[in-house]
Amino acid sequence: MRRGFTFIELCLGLVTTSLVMSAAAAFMMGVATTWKASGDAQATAAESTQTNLKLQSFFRSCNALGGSTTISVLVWRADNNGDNTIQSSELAALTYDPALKILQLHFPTVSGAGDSTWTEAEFYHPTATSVFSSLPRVSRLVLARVSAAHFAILRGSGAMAKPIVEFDLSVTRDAKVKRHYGSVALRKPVDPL
Amino acid sequence: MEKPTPVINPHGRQAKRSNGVTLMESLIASVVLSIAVVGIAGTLVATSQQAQDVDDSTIVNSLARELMEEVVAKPFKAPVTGDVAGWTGGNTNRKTYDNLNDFHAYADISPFQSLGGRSIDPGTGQTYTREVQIEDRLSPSIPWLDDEPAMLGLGSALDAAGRLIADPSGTLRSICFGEIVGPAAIGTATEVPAEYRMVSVKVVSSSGKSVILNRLMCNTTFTK
Repeated sequence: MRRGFTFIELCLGLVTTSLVMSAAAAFMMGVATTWKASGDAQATAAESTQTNLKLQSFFRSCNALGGSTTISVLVWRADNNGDNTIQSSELAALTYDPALKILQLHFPTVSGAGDSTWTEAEFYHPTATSVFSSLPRVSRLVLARVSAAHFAILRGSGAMAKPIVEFDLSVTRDAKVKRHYGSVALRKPVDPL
Repeated sequence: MEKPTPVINPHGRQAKRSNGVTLMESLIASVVLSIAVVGIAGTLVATSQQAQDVDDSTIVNSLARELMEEVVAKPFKAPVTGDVAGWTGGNTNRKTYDNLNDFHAYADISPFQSLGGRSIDPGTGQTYTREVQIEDRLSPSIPWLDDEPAMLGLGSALDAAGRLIADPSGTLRSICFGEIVGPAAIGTATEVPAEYRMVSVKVVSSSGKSVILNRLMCNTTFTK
């Protein structure tokens, strides 16, 4: 005899289907969340390593650390012309821009008469980075999505101590904040001037 | 209405009329489904755990590198005058350390105090501990250290006692930060006693992740 579903059978079928669909949805959500967490962890690891390497390669070869603030560090990259004095073209700076939430390296593009000489006092002055910011320069992005940055410098004592730049960066990724904390020691002793 | 003819199977018995799913069948189906779900959930948990492990490893490595940079920035030898006490001398403020050995036996636990005076908490819910050990290596006892000069193409730069000597071309070289420093010509076959210290930084998280970084430091008096 052929007959259709009764009302009870239909209800049971619907309930069963709903349960199965709920379980499937929960499972898919779990897969998606895990997948994302795995990707985020790998991206954070790569980002942390890259940031460390970029900052290491920038600071390690520098001659000296100049005046700095909690969001900017001025450096004397190298004595390119060997005159044992600092020229604008030999400087560079690492800065954090809170408005754009980016970390950048800046390299002056001055030459000739515009390539002024900096005294030691000017170089180490706390406002040196703001003087530097008035120079024409090219900028290179180091890290984006930086919600907060804090730099500290430890110059050390003694002729053989090497200055250290400490960085504490908070990077936002999908509303989650990851912290990149590290430090880089210069490979030259303090105050080569 | 005509009655339906009963179905007879090949064994001559009357087949049971199919009347939906029995309780037993649905229970068996549920058990099979549960086993499948538990199995799949297990892989999800494992993947999630792996993501946390990657996170933890990143932090552990980063903390170790950070402390290593602080240690290697210190001069090899203590200043002749005005030497500040290190960790073993009861000075817990690492900002004031003035030579490598001041870090010997140093230990701290998260949240860490940064050089800039900030509290550094990795924010993972884990606790991290850091330790530093510094050993004199006048006579290298570990195999890779004995092999390193050869790997760096220095020939017999270190003698059996671990002292720095001239390479076959008669040029003095020394190894600092794992790099060849020099050359500094001082004649041939000159033997110079060198001092080496092995710096080890160990970081362990409460989840069990750990890393040990080693770096061989030499007295930079011998660099050019």
